[in-house]
Amino acid sequence: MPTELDLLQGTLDVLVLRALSWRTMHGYAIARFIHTGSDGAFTILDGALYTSLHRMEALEWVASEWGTSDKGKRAKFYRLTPAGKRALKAETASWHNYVAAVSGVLRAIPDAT
Amino acid sequence: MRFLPESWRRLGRIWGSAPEDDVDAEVAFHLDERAAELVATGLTADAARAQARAEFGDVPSVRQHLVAIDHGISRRRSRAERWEWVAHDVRYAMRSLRRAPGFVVTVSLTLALGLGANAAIFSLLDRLYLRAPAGIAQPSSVHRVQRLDPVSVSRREHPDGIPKSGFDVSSVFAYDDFAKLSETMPAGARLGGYTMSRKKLGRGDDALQLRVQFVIGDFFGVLGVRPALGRTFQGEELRIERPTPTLVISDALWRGRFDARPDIVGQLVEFNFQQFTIVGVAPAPFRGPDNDAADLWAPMNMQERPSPGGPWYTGRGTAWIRILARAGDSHTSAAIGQAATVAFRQSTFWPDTLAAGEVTPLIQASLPGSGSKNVAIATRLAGVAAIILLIACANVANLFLARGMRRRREIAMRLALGVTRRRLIALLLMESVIVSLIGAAVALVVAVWGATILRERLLPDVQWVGAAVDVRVLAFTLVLALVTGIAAGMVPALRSSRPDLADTLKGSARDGVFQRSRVRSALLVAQSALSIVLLAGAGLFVRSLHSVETENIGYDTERIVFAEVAVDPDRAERALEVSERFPRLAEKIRRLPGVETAGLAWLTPMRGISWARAFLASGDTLPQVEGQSPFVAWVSPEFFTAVGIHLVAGRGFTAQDGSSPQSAIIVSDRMARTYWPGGSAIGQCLSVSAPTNPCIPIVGVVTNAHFDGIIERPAMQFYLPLADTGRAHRAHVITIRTSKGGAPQVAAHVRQLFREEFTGWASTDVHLMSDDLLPELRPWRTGAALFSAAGILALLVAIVGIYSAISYTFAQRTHEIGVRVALGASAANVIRLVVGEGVRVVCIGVFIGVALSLAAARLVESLLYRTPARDPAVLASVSIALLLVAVGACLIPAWRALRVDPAIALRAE
Repeated sequence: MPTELDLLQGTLDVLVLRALSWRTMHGYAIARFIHTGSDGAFTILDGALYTSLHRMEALEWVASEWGTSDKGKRAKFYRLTPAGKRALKAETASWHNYVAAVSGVLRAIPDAT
Repeated sequence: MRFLPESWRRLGRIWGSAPEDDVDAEVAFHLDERAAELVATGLTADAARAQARAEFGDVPSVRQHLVAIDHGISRRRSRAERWEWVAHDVRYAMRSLRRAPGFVVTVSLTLALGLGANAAIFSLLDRLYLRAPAGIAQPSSVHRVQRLDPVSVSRREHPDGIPKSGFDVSSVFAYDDFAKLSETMPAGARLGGYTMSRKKLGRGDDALQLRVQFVIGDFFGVLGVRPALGRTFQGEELRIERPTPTLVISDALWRGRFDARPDIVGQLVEFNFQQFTIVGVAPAPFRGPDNDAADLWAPMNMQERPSPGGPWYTGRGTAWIRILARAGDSHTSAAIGQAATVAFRQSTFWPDTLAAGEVTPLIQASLPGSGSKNVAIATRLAGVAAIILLIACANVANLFLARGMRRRREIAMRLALGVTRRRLIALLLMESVIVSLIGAAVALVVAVWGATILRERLLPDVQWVGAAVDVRVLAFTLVLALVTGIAAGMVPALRSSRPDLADTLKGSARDGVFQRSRVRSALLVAQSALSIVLLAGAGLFVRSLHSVETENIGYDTERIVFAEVAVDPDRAERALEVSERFPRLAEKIRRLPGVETAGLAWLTPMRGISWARAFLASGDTLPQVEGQSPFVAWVSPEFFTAVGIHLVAGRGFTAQDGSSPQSAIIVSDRMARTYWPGGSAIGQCLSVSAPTNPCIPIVGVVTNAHFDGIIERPAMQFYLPLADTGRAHRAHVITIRTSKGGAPQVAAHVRQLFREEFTGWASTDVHLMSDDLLPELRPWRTGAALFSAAGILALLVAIVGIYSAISYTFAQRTHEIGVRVALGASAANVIRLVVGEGVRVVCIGVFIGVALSLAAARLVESLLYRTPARDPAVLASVSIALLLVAVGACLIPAWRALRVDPAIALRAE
């Protein structure tokens, strides 16, 4: 079901961008952020998360750099680029529109014509 | 990775690992972190690891996917970075060049001269050799027929045919060859012939000298030319037997002379002193199959000329027709070649011949060797342009070397900071390429100007289409500029990127120790050698020009005026009337101020040739010498004095000779020596036209005179007295001898006189003999001027090169000279040191240059006249000239060295 997959992919991208909009993070930290933020409401395979990160790096939405984690381990950190910030804004807006549209339909009552 | 400073990124890249390693490390970090967290919640290590993997998904497949993405990223990044480097280098080079505007101007102007010369020549040669003349349909199907004659190879040695080498190639044919070939043409092939000539359109002051192609057979069909107006030739016009006075004119002539009148077809015009009907106008671009543009076309049957016995076109041994054939495919073109072979071998003129026919494509046939003298000059100029560019390159390389030396501390610093040598070389090359491109921009201006001059002065008759500098020339110049920039910059970049690091950085007071640079000397040697080659070429040309201009052609050229009258051949009674008026006119002319004498003749020297068969008293034909029979002219008694031919022995003609037809013959010195060696000519006799005619006594011997041009094979000539009246060879031209410098005025007077006399019923032509010679002198003058200009250019570049190299060398040796002066060296010593340094290098160059000139002599031999290609006088004088220039160029640095104050020089230590 490609439509569902695409939706999921796009959604995941927004979540990752959102995570990075706070601060520079490594992949694991992003995974924890999304897990905690969603209050465990949905789980995402971590592999999909990394695919999203690398894909967005190719799009130059995020940039990466090797650094040191809190525990002193070598880790790859990601950061939002200006293009990524713009993408986040656009994706967030379209997500809200989507949600509004879906809610609208859910609330609607058929015309008695 | 934008959030790190530039330098960090570079470091990151140096330590950067492969995408595979990166992905593995990242995934491992994630799994470790997750497992550690799970262990903290109480799972066993193994269970924690298993759960972490499960949460991750299909690890190997994700890994593979990530690696693929990262590879894409790194590829794109390295591409972007390469461009970034280039942009950086350009910026850097521009910055560093901007600090040296004098250097940039010198170098780019030097290169502009070299590039411009090449661009201009390319624009000429591109038109001449690489493209077919305009207006020809499918030019690749059009072929020229050529005749190959084995060179002195007898049939016995090659019984089966013809060896593959040693041919005389000829592309002009007798009418018989053309006729034979027409009969043997394979199916599907078309055949046409033409010859180029110059004739006058109109008469008097209004007359226009035009280039006409006399054509035969399917000339227009072969070239695929359809008339824009009217028709091309047809029927009788395609054949040679009967004269058909019709013309097809070019579009240019139609517009230029006839104001593009739509009713031009059917109009009568006077051409070559006869009435012609214009039957058609050729389409705009078509100007004939040669680079020499034709203005109009006439049937070959209108080309009739004087000929001894038989129809004019069957004249034995006269070849003048160029043959073209159209063949749709290679099979047919090969068949044409075979048909030509058959036709040539059946020829009655050359029985038992091994000649073979061959076809060559129209474009290829105009390759060097078959062209005119002007075209030959143009191809040699390509060599000259290449040499100028080489000299410019050597010069520029030297300037860059000097610049590299000046910048060696900066360069050493960069190397010490870890810039790789490759990067440094790229950076330095960028500078020379940029300067070369600036030079190319200037060169295009030079090329427009130069190519226009060359078109007008050197090759005015070529059909030039389009601008001198077009896209092809532009592309050529750009590519040449890139190559030149890299070539000129490579050696200096290699040298300057390898300085002695420690020494230079220490910054010894003397700013590095002077070393005599072998590369710089070599460049200077090359430059001097090439300059010698160019100067020698110029010298040879100037000498040839001098030989041509001072060639004794047998006439007092500067003092002679010719006055001719031509009438319609159908109006014989008028011709008679003209000749009857001539003696009276000549008498009138003799009384004009500035006229010394005037003679009469049938055919002017240099403007018409006539043969007459002559027989010895025994009845034998006068034998041919070197394939030539003597020419004949009919002249009045005053003719010899008028043109400046002198008596060598015997007497000239008298008035009585003219009244009795077979009274006297005068022969040229050459003819007398050939047939009657030992001065025994006088008293012999010759029968003219037929052996049965009365034998006419030879009464005098006169000095030799040319009959056709300045440069021609020596020929024999005899003179018969011009008849008073009634016979075929009547007065046709008045030859007038003027006082020194009086020719132009006399010509004006005579022109007026002739106009009064003949206006309305015959066309007149009064001109200076020196004007007749101009077209032949022009290529020599142009060639001498062009080669001299090139030589002077080379000399200028050489002066700059020597001066800058020597002054730079001695600027470095200031300290050494200071020491010498302090130790008591005299001014003479210092001058000798500096000048000696320059002259030593130039001397080597001169020797190599002379050797090169001797080796290249073969290439220009064919362009010279009475000048040996290995002329020692020329070589000696150009060598001396260059050495003198070298001494001159060294004097300024020497003078500067003299002013070195030893105290200051030593204190600099």
